[in-house]
Amino acid sequence: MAMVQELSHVKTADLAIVDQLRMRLNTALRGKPDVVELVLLGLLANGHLLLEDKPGLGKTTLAKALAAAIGGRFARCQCTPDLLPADITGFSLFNQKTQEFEFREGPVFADVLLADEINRATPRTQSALLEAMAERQVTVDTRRYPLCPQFLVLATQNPIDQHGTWPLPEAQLDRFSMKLSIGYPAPEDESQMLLLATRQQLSQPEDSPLLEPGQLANMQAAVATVAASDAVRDYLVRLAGTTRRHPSVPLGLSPRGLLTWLRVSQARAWVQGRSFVSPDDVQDTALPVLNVRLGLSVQECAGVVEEILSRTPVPEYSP
Amino acid sequence: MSAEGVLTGRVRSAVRGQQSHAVNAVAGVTGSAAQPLSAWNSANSRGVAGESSERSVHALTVFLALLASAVFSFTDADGQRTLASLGFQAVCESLLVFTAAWLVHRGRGWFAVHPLQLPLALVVLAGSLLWEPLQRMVFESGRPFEMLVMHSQKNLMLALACLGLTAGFRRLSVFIGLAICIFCCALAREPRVLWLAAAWAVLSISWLMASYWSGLQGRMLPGQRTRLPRRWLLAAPALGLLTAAGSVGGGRELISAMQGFLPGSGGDGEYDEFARGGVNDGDALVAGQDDIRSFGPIEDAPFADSDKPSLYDVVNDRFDEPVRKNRTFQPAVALPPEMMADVQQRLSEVRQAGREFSLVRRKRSRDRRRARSIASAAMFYVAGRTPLHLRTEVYDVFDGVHWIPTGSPADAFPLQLVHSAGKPWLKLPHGPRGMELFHHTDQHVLRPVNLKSPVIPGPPDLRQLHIDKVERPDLFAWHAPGIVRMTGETLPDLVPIRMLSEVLDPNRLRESKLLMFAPGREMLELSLPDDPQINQLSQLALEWTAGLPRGLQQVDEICRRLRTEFQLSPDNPSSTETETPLSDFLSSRRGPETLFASTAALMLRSLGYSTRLVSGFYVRPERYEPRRRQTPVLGEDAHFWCELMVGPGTWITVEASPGYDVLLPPPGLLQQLSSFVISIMLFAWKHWIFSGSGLAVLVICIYQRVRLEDALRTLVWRLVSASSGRRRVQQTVRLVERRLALAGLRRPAHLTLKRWLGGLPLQQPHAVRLLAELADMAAFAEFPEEAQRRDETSLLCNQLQQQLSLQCFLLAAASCREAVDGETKTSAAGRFAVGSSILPLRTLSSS
Repeated sequence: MAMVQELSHVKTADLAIVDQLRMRLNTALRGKPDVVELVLLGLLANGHLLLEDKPGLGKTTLAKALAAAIGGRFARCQCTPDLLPADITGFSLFNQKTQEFEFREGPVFADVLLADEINRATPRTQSALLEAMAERQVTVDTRRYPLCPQFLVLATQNPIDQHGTWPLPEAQLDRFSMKLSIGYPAPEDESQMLLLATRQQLSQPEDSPLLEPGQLANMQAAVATVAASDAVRDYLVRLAGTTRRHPSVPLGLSPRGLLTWLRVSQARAWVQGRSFVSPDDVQDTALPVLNVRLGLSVQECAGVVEEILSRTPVPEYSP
Repeated sequence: MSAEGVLTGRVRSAVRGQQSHAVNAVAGVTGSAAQPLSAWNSANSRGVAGESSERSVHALTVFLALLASAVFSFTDADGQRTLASLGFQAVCESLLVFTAAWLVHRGRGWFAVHPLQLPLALVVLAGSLLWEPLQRMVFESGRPFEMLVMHSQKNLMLALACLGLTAGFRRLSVFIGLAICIFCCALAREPRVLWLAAAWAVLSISWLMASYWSGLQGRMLPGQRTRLPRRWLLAAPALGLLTAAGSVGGGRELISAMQGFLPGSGGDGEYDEFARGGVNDGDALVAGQDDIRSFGPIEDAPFADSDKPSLYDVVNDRFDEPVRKNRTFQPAVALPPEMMADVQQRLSEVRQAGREFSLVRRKRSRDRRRARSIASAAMFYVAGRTPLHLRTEVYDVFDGVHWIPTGSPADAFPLQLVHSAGKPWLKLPHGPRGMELFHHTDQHVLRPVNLKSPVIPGPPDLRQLHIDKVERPDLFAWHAPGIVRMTGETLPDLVPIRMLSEVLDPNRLRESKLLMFAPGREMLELSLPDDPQINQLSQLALEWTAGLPRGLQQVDEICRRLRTEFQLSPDNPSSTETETPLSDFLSSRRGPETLFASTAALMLRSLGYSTRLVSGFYVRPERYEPRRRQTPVLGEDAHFWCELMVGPGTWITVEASPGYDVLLPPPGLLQQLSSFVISIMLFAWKHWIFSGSGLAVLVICIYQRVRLEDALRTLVWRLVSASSGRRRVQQTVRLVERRLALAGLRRPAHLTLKRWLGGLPLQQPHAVRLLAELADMAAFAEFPEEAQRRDETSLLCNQLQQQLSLQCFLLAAASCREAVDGETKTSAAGRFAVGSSILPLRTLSSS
């Protein structure tokens, strides 16, 4: 095992930072290590996350803790039907003193943006946010304003309340790297949370950043260099083809989605200390990556993903 | 349910436990979109299993091509090259072909982009043809045209086998191999070619199965196993080998039992007037290869003249010289007055010619009975089914010592000549037929070689005979009832005589209610001399057949008694002075077949059956020569037997001598198979030590096949060194995966090694984790190839394969089965779900 670790080529210092990030987020969101892990993967894969869950489960807490941990600014945007695109991207305001228009940055200029109930915003407003997500820049009054390179959006939507909503179309859902569901905590975790609250020991999220400036960018760059062999790429392509041919899937995986899947798999391999992607990484990230882009409900998607993975042989170990 | 099925089922149930509606949702969609779903399934079911099948088919194609190449090499050599040089050539060819096939397999991606397989094959073909003039010019050696063509085809076959990435190339290669094998079998003169061709045929069964299975990939239904059924791939050729081994061990009886199963062109043992022509057996007969006097009868063979023994010489040589002396008493034979004159005339003619047959023979000293003096060269050859009685003389009157031949029938129907397929056939008319006893028409071909006699030895119930270009019926004449002779002094030498005869169906015979054993006219066949030995025979016959109804049962009983209670011996028990040879036979209970036949005939006559004695030849099955498909008849095959009348003009052969059998209709398929099985069992019984020990070894091998296979694979793993650390890890993974399969825990194609091994209840979790990590690295990452690392890797792999042994997997499989049988579902699912579920992301840690 030592030999295997020795050959992994992933810096232990980076892995230690990731461990600290993980602990910080687990402290903020108790009892959900899987969700925390996926959030970390999304972060390292430089992607955006869609959280589809009910209110009060800790989405905002998670986003805040994440922003604080990476040393970035946190912004929250409550999407309502009357939200305008300028409320998200920013707007130009005429300064009477200088007699010039000044651009006032919107929430998208933060490092971590929590867009609550994104499906309640109008399609026009959704498009403005999604454009910023995709291009990491906004255009206001014909002028482009770049966003933070590590700009991360945590969008949420309520799976129950569908009245007065504008569901995100598949083409725009494809911009999210993963769709997650936090779910209710386990009874013992809830009980522990109540105990801490009654004893006023509910830990406050730490504000000190764990990452130094530029460190996140370096880690994201390192993730992008994780090797994916021909066999693994072929496996991904076969899986993508399978999704496109499945009769239950309205819209198969797009090439962009395939790239996202590869990137998330690379992130998973990297956090495990490997310098290469294995089929296990692909399989473990299948559901969250495909969940957002197959156009199916969570339950349906789970069954379809299981079927797709069951029907597609993994690459051979000894060709 | 196998452990493998349990585990994969647990995987699914663990997922479904978390997503309970997923399957229902998918099922609902499936019901409304069945066709697209099935098409999707078929498009996605081909994967690792399909690639494995393709590799198997490719490997089998290469083996078949090499085997066919070996067949051709032996034929091409034609005995001019030693076995060592041929073996060396085969080894070189094999190395070249395997190397080429391996390179093509490795470069299949390149061939997918550059489809140059066909041009390469054509280059090989053209090169083979163009090499010939160079060879003739430079080395002054060459091949005949047909061998040159087949040589180029052989090279094309090997090239197509190497390039067998597509099904079309593989099939074409095997097809050319088939053509080469057929060509070589037709030409070959040594048995090794036939053995190799037989091996090719057996292996081709496996190829057919593998090729068909490979074609099924992509059309399998969801949930069906898609692995090549290797056990059936071995079973089919094993059955073929068993048949071949049985054929070898069963001897000639077995071969003759199976003969006729696949009739050749023109018929094989069965005449077919609609056949186009046969080879070596049937209408067209091939000339003999070595000696014109050896069989391969052809119509235009030259006549050969030599000293040939006559029928009488043959009989005397076989049964010794008759003793001619004046008898002290003359027994009287009661005959009706109307026959008296005819018989007396016949008697005087016969005695003048010395044609009567005496049961009292002169004894020859044993010293003179050497094989050389007894065993003469073949008198004639017979092609056709055996055993066969060939009649040359019929005797009806017995005077106590002598049998008097019947002579030519005075009221016989005239011989007629008919034409069939442009050939003249002599039709032998026979008496009224109101009994449908005959089942089968047999064809035999007789070719006289060393026989000086005009009598044509014919089988019982001879109906037609044909001698080529003999178109005059007056060249033939009746010699005796049912026996024809030529009017010349002797039969034409080396000229085949084709004969059609009818064979009785013994079942119909015994079931027939129309049998008549003593019609009024042929009373000579009922006559008995007034002789004390006849009284003795009569009493014995009554004693033997007491309680049996009149008919074939009595006949069978008499024959049975004679065959079991009397001993066949060439020595005549009677002295040369005796006048009661039959009494001597009864008292000594041994003697030659003349006495057996005479005793049977006279006993049956005493019971009121019409019988007659017949002399001729007995064509022995054990003399059958498989290669030439003929049976030589020697002088010592002269024989006597009895015939019994069962109806007007209908006589059946009654064989009372032990060791002699009557020709029966050809066996049906069931009889052939049972004969084959019995022959194998007899062979096994005869060589009980060999067969017993072989069976024990086989049983042990079958019972321990799993461990044996593992031991062999482990040995190969140890012996075969790897060129790199990655290869060593891959070899180790292959070994471990095979152990899993042997233990019934074959990894499903869609699960990774880490996930599958992690879900098994193994006692070596550390080894499992390490092997999975190494397998991932070897398959999907850059592997360190420094010398030191390679040694460390080899050592590590050795430790891993020792820890992950077959035994530990067998224990895990047993645990899985126990979990299904005894444990609660919850505990089993909980134990197996951890590490085996696909979808939920496990908590990751850096450990």
